Amino acid sequence: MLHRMIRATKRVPLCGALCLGIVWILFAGVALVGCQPTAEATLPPATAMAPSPPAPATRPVATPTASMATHGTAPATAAGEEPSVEAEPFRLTILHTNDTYGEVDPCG
Amino acid sequence: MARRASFIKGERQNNQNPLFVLDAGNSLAGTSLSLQSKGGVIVEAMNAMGYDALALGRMDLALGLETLKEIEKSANFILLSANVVENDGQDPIFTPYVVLERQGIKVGIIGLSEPDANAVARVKDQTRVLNPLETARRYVGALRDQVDVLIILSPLGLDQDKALAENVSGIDIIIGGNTRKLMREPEQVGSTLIVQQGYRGEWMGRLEATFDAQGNLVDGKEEIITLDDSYADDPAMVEMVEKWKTLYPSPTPRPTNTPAS
Repeated sequence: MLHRMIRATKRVPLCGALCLGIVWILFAGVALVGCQPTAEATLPPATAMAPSPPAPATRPVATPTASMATHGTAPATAAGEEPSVEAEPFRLTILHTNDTYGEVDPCG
Repeated sequence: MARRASFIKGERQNNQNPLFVLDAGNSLAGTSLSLQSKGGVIVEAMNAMGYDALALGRMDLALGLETLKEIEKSANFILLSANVVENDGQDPIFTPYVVLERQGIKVGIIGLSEPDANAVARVKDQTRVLNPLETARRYVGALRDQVDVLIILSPLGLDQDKALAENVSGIDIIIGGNTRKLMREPEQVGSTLIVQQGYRGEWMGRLEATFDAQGNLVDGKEEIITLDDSYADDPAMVEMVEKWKTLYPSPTPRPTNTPAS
């Protein structure tokens, strides 16, 4: 279109060129107004937003009652299995008795 | 027993640490009621209290293999002995060790029995007792790399426990017995802590063990729990014991010895 308009300015006299220029300005103005968002335009839905970053990986913690037992039979050769605890200090509580001799009462 | 049940119940409610309840042996039998019930009253009580494991001592073996095999079926805890083997073989008759995992921490527990644990006629001809120290060395060597914490339940006596700690590396904790000591603090031998608490269930030990990030035992605080009347009787335990007393009404004789301090 621009080529055609340039070519037209070469053919028409000065007043014609002014008229064409005004038309061009009007056309461009309408075209620019058409690029503005309309009043009804809405923001993208929230779900389209980037998700929150994942929580940092933590060591899984079992419930206090969770327990897994492995019964031994004969001693196997030392396996290369890694201990389950990662590099964190830990504490455990041991309640213990000995030599209760089948006592049921009154003490203990 | 009913006070012990109350104490353990309170610990379970209030303690956030991984919790283990263990017995170092000679606890299934001794009183008239325990013998008449073939350990039944004690097994039911230990089930109710949530014991995890018990090492088989001489007095436990006095119940006989047949009874103990029946107890294995009804007990919710593990009967451990790594060194009581068949008379004509090398295989342990009972479970030698157990690995318990709580809150991501793997704890290996090995049970030992006294060298004369099979002295009673009922089991003498059916069993042999292997050297506890050599047996411990064998099992500790096999288990150490697979667990975070390694515990031995030992009714061998304090001197033998010290020898065990001196001669077998890799043991974190020895829960001992037999010498009836009330130990206000753990005995430390090398990197091993040794504890035991009295006898007859009048006391209970509470060991809080702290490990560093590399899994090394760095601290152990032992508390003697004297199960006096400051602990209320657990009603369910009282009722259970009464049930067994009704079944076997003979009086319960009590030893009069006092614990060494």
